Amino acid sequence: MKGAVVFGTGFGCFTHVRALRAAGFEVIAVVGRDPDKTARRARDFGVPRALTSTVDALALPGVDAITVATPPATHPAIVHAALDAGKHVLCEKPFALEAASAREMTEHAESSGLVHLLGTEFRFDTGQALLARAVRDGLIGEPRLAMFFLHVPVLADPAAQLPVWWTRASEGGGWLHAHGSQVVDQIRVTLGEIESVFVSLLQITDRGVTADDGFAAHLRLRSGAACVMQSTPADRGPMLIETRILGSAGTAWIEGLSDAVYVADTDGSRRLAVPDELRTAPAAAPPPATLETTYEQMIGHGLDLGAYTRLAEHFHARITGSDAPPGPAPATFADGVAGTAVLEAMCRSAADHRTEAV
Amino acid sequence: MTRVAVVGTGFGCLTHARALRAAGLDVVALVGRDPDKTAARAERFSIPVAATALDAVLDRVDAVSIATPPQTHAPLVLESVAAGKHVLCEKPFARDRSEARTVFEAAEGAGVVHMLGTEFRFAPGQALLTRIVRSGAIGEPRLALLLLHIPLLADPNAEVPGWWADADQGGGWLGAQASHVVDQVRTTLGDVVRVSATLHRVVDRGWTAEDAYLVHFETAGGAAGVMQSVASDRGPMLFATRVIGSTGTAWAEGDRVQVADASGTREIDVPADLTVGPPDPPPAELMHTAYDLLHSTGIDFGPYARLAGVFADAIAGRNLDTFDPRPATFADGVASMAVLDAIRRSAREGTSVEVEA
Repeated sequence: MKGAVVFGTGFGCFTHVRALRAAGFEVIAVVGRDPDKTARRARDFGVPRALTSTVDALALPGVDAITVATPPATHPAIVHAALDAGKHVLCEKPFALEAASAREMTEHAESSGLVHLLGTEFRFDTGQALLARAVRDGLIGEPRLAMFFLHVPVLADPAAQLPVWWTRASEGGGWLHAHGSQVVDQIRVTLGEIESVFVSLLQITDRGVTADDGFAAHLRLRSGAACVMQSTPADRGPMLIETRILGSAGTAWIEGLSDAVYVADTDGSRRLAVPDELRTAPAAAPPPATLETTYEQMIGHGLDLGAYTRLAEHFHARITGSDAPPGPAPATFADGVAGTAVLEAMCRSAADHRTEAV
Repeated sequence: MTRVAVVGTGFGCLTHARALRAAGLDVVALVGRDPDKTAARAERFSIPVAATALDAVLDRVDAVSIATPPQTHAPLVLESVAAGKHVLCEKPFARDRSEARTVFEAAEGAGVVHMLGTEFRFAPGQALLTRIVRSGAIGEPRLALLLLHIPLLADPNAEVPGWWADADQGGGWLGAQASHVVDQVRTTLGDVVRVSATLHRVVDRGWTAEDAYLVHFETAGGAAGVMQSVASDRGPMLFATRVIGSTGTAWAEGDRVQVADASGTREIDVPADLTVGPPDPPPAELMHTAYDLLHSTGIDFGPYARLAGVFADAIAGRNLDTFDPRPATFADGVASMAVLDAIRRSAREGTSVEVEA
């Protein structure tokens, strides 16, 4: 059995540990900064060892791979150390704070010959994967415009508890990096590369921090299509979730966050059948008692556990050299470079109030 | 009684003439290009005089109501105000901001009442949402969403007037629909200072005008938002009008307006001063093309009748500042054209564009 160490006591435990196990890894240790919290989380999630040292963790016997679910500013140190130690790496998004840093990690990983994957698990979300396939298969003709809206109330309260790094724009915190990075990946997978961006980063709820809690973005794609992404976790109104792509021959959309994908064209409207290879394990949140803060409740919803398990299966298959699971290909560090370049352009655009090329 | 000439045999008859009458104005003449159609429409709507030139009827009216293709607005307004007539003019107001400015200055110089046909300022839901946001009920407005997707023009053979399919003649969905939304954004959130936009022809056909737009805007107050509309979406209809502020969110579903904040969600009743008459569809036998169907529901009749009443009151001497909602004048037409110009330029050049002040 392949052994893995998980870096990060939040999402790392809520999702990585559980997905890795479901994919056939043995989780040997969890690594965190705070010894008490790390020990508590290791106990809660049944992980044998709790450590606070990267060096010690990488030196444990039986470690083939690591996964990184720590704040983005800490990714490079952990990733480079792991690659130096010959470990395969699965790293969370946002991958890096700067494109240069993303490139360094990628070059290191590629030259090492080790497996490197990025934690954009929503590629495997059944609805998103089915929509991407429908669009790429030409079911709506040539894509022309697309919209990605998600408004939720989870951080509307000014007293919502957030980790300090997440409140700092300079440390890769905020909603654009957290959620926007997933949408950017979804757009790249579904519609192709992004050419230029115009972005507004917003602080909707007054909480005296530098990170955004909402954004609006207008994207021009290399294909000539355009899209809008707008999202905030600080909307007290009804949840608003719209993913819709309009093409020359029809419209395709996902119903909410479900697996239900529809296409409407001159023949009418129909729900697409879900092929077996796009199905994933059901959603499952960790025990509520382990979700201690607003932030942890937000990231520990477990809706992505099935998708993350599929990602972990890819990780496992690449490490063992076995056949890849069916369905979409996983994102690698190369996608991390592309995604970081987009996010960097987005932040520049928001600061300069003008369109920026990616 | 104020005597009005209506110019335009389409929306002019279906909505202007009926709304003006409902507001107590006397519609005495109809002006159109095609003599037969103009005569037939004048008879159908019981308008005593049909003419093919405005100057033939100007001396018998006090005011002119213009509902012709946008490129023809400027000469018609200039002719009207030169004769000292009050003017109500449809949107999109002009070819561009520069022409709008010329028309505005002429009307101001003539000292006549001038109003723009953005009737949805008076639609109860929109008016109430604007009032709520401006009252500070959701704190500082920060993010807005104005979406409308309908299938009306999804059929490649959907019939529209020739000018409407032609971008060079001021046609297209941006001028038709976004004119209203830009007005709504300006009244609710303040001046738009910057846009990034794309115009789309979702359905392939022989049009040069767009059937969809995406506009990301930023306001002088630091709010941002998206206005997006597609007239040819084969998917489910989509309507959303929502403003998220620092302390809460307000949204409208038709005339139902709700606010959600830390104390919960509540519906705000439409106050008596914002109510309008019920929808009143135009005669069904005149509704033939997809374009006609745009106005077939009659939902704009109540708001238009209210606008016409404001027009009549202003002609009678009432100060515009005493109206709430305040009607849009040609000054608003200039400001809206500046935003539309910026949207078109952004779409053409592929970059964000600052709106000319």
